[in-house]
Amino acid sequence: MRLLPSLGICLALGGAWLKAVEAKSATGDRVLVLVPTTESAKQYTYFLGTLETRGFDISVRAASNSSVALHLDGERLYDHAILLSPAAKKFGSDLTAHNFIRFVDDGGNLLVAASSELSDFHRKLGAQFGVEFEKRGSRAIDHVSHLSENGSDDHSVVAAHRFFGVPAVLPSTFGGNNPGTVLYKGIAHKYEAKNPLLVPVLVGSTTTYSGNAATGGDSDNKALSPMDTPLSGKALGLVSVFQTRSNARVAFSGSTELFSDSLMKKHGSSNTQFVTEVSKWVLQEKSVLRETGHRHHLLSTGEKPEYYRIGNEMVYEIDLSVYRDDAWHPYVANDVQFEAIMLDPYVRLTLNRTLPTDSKSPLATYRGDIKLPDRYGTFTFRVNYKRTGYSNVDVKDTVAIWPLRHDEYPRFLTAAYPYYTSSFVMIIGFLALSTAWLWNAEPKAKTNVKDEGKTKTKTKTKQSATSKPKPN
Amino acid sequence: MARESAAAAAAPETTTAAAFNASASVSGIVSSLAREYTANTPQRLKVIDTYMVFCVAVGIVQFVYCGLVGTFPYNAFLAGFGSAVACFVFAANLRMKTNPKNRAQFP
Repeated sequence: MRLLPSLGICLALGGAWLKAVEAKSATGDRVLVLVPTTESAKQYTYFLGTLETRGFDISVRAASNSSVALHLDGERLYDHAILLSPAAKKFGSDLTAHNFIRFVDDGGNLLVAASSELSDFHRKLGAQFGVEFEKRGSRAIDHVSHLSENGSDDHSVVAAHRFFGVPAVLPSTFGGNNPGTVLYKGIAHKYEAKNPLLVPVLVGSTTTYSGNAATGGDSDNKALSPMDTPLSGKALGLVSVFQTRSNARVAFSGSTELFSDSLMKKHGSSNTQFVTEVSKWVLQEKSVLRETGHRHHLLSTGEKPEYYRIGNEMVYEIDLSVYRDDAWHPYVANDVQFEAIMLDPYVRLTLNRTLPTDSKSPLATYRGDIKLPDRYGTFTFRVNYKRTGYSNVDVKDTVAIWPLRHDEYPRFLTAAYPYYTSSFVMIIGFLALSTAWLWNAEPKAKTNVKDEGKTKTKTKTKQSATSKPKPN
Repeated sequence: MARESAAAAAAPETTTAAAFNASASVSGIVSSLAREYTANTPQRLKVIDTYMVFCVAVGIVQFVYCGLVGTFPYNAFLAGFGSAVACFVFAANLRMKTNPKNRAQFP
């Protein structure tokens, strides 16, 4: 009896050790790799080997294989697709660009590699994401920084060293003072700079341009004439990545040789690291954010009421984790914001991270103390966190904020105390007047004129006449 | 009050020498008015007059406070100021009715 559980533990531990994964995807392991022919997959053995080591279940298929399908009964058959067949007009029996876009809409990730001989399929697919490939037959050329070994220069193999700094996609070791060199042979593309979802990862340096045989940029290493204005420099994209609003990731590379063994093995090339980082990002092995829970309650009582009142003080908390290195870690940032919205945001507050009680906890709690606005209505509590390179987190909560009941307003306002005192003072004054009027005793006459004396006595008698009935 | 001063002016030969010396200047008018008032007004009416001055003072204090601080508890201001004004008006009515010089109109 005792042996079984211990055996089970041994097997589990052994199995885990055998797997020895570096990273595992947060969204699934099934990868479809489409190559022109299964023979051509041999040039990517290193790249595909690293994917397998990372725990993926790879299916390599030829592009023309009619059994290739992305969906079955409305469900995705694969979680990721890698396209290494630039010349194919369609994949499988009838998979067009539209099918792959639907694959991405359903949450699948895509890594698309093109080349100078790319087909309309790739052009259409790229256009959907803001990536405009150059004309067929052109290639990225650099007469200054290119591959040169053993005395033979190939100007069409660009030694690209200009990376865009998005730490979520490429770690900062790639940029900075000592950037790596990525050997790239293929076609360039224009990327839509205004699209916030599209991030260029590897772009041309100042001496890179996109040329073809007609403009003189062919393998004869002929230079351009001054009248040409081809795509060049920073606007020339070599590798770009795209993240959809539903957190599916797509990467576009104009070169299949970027992933090939031959360029990876060249001396001084950082293709391996570059391809590893980009593929980790695309296959959701890093920079994946997730919200594991959120709560809100009153500050004073600590309980969540059925409805809030205007001006209530409350606390909002949200837990965020980031996936990297095969596990969920607490996500540390200083720009997580909370909004209380009723058509417009009435409150917008940056949340602070609370110190964790458990250091091994995979989540980071962000907390904010909020005073609800002076308006009543149906509000939405929202944390809308969209950062370049990280997955989107959008958490909404609908709450009701009720107005105060008539007996919940303050009874006496401090600003109105003078008016209260004046009212009471008037009352007292009236009472004083009444007593003075009723018990009034006329003082002795002090006049020295006959007439005044006459009027005085007249008024005296009149007053005594009129005043008599009053005390009664 | 108007009747008193009119009566005083209508019978100049019966007034005192001091009153007769009043000049046409403002200070002279004011001092003669004050003297006439203190001498000729029955005490009951003086009581009412004091009360009316008190009401006016209270009203002015509230009005100045409202002007400084603003009309935030507007209802409270209206209540306080209105009560002062109303008390003033009622006191004026009582004075008119009980003034011996108005006996002809209020039998």
